[in-house]
Amino acid sequence: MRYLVLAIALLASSAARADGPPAAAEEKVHTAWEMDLFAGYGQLAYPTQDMVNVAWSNGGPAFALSFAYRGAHFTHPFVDISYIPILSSAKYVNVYVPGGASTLYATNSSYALGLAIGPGWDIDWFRVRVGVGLYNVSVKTDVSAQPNTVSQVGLGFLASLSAMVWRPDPFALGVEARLVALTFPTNGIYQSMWSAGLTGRWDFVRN
Amino acid sequence: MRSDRRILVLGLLALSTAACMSRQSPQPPAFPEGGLVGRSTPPPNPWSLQKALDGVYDTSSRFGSNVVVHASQWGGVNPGTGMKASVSILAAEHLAFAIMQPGCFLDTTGETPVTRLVLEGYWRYLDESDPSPTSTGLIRLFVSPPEIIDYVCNAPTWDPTGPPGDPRPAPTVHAAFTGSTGNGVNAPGSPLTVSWLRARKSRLNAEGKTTFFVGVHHGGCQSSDNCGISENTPETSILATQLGGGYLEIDIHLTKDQVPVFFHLGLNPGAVQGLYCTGNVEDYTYDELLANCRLRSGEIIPRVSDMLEFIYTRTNFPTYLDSKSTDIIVPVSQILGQLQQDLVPCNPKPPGSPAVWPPAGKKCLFPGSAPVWERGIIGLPAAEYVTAYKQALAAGQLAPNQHCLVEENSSDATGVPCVAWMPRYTRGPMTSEVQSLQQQGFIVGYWTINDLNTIDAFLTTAVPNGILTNYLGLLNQRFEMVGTTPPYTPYRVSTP
Repeated sequence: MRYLVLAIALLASSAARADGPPAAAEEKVHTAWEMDLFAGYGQLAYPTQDMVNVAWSNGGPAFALSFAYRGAHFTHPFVDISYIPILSSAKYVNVYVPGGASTLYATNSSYALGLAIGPGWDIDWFRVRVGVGLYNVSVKTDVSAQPNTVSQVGLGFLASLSAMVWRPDPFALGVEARLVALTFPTNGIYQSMWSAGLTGRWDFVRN
Repeated sequence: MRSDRRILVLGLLALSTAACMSRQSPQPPAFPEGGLVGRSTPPPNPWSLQKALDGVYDTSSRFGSNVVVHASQWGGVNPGTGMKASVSILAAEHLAFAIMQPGCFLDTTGETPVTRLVLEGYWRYLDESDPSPTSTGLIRLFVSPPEIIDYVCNAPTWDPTGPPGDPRPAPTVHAAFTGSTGNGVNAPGSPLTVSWLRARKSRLNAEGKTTFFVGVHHGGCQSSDNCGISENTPETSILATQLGGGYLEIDIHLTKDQVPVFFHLGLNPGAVQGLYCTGNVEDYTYDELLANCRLRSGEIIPRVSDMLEFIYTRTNFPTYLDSKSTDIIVPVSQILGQLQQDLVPCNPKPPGSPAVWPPAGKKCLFPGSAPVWERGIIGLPAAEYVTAYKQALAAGQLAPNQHCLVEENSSDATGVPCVAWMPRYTRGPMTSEVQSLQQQGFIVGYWTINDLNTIDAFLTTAVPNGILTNYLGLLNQRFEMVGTTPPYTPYRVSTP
């Protein structure tokens, strides 16, 4: 909860200051609404998976759409909607059953849909963002050819680092690395996922 | 700009300080290669330790004064098991306990070879939920005087077809322990002596019936306390026996494919491991739980049928099966009915039974334990559970002699009828209701008290038959200090 409070305070502070009076040294004020698209590859970062009896395992495509408001201030608030692959895998599971042992074959996948808010900062052509939000984690499991899907919503944190290497006004294109950490009440962070890929920015409203 | 950068640093700090939790519980420390006990022989009669060592003692360090030394028996007589004994130290300070295994060996290091009785195991402070070298370590104690060693190590071998116990009179001298404790996996080096103070209080009333029981909340240790054994598992019933438990409260759920299992609440990261293990037990079939979920210490989520068979054959616990949904009542009662058929008394076998016992397909109950119908008590936590139970009873869907326990209204205990009332302690002691039910032959206890002062207040005010707690050692110790055995006999438990 303290992280949520801190992130919201940071966001409020950045939004308030973004609307505030410009610094005396600045001659001209530009504000803009920007849209960002991210596409890349991602998978589980923590905890390390036990690979015993795992037939195969991989991540998957990751996507994000975000909107940000830029003012005169160094800090910009943003909203981020993302699809985060966690892991897909298949494994053989040896289980004890009374009277002997049994082997189950399970194919599983897990992903998260997230809505996060937070502050971001532009440092030259780099962009750093941190946020907090709600992440709906879905598990699709198929054990012995019986599919099932279960979902659960929890609090998560987002951190991203982008480098805008090509900036034809009002667009920009670059590379981005993202990290999402999921929490559970009283348990803290229990799982995190990384993703990396291309990101594009479009300032669709400017003043 | 400087304040802007401060905001940036603060934000990054917020993320970096968010500690990652481990989903794997650590294991308690153990002596390399089994220690001295690994090279010793177990006492020939597992019950001899109870007569020779049980008592209230003073310790010179680590555990404080007025600690309980508790000897326990577990394991059973079915093939692949075998009766075993443990000796524990149960303390109030730091919620401490030590669990040790006994071994007898011939010490040839002196001029004259002598038999020695050694106890080895680990100690733990439960007031720190994450064990570290300051809150857990190894312990090794040697028992004296020679009369006690002789009583235990040269006891007549217990006959696994005979009744439990040691028929010999207790030794006339009192035991003492000397040895040491260590930190973490380091060899024990801090001296410890354990000195006799007095005998333990009897938990029998004037009619010779046990009327006070230490209630085991989910098992010997909560999963969050990281004892190396998860709650609601078969293994935790052994731990609970070692820690002086008297009855076991465990939680029952139905999986998506209607398999009754033991589990507490949600599949949260503090309770289970597994990337694909989220949501609730009811969301998955049992095969899916087996494939994708492991409890915090690596165990599978146990089926009710398997775990109850384990408990009834390897311990003498009565079980309070806490229903987590109304539709679990009938399937669990049917499992109890089947176990009543499958588990038979063997110590001794019933008069007139065939020479080969148990019959094919049957297993032996734990020596000296009550039959399944006395031990499998279905918990009814709210009014809708009472209604569902009554309907199932009226429809003839419950096993013969099915027993129940109510948590909310004492009138339901008499109305259904059930055998026990187990209200939430925050409602207060309710002394007159407690005594009224006790006089009518019901068992009355409270859930769940973990605080020393509150335990003392309830033990002295209401004189209950039991209290459910996470800290079995603490409750055992407090009973020795302030507890009183209720005078009334809970005859309804053993009445069909």
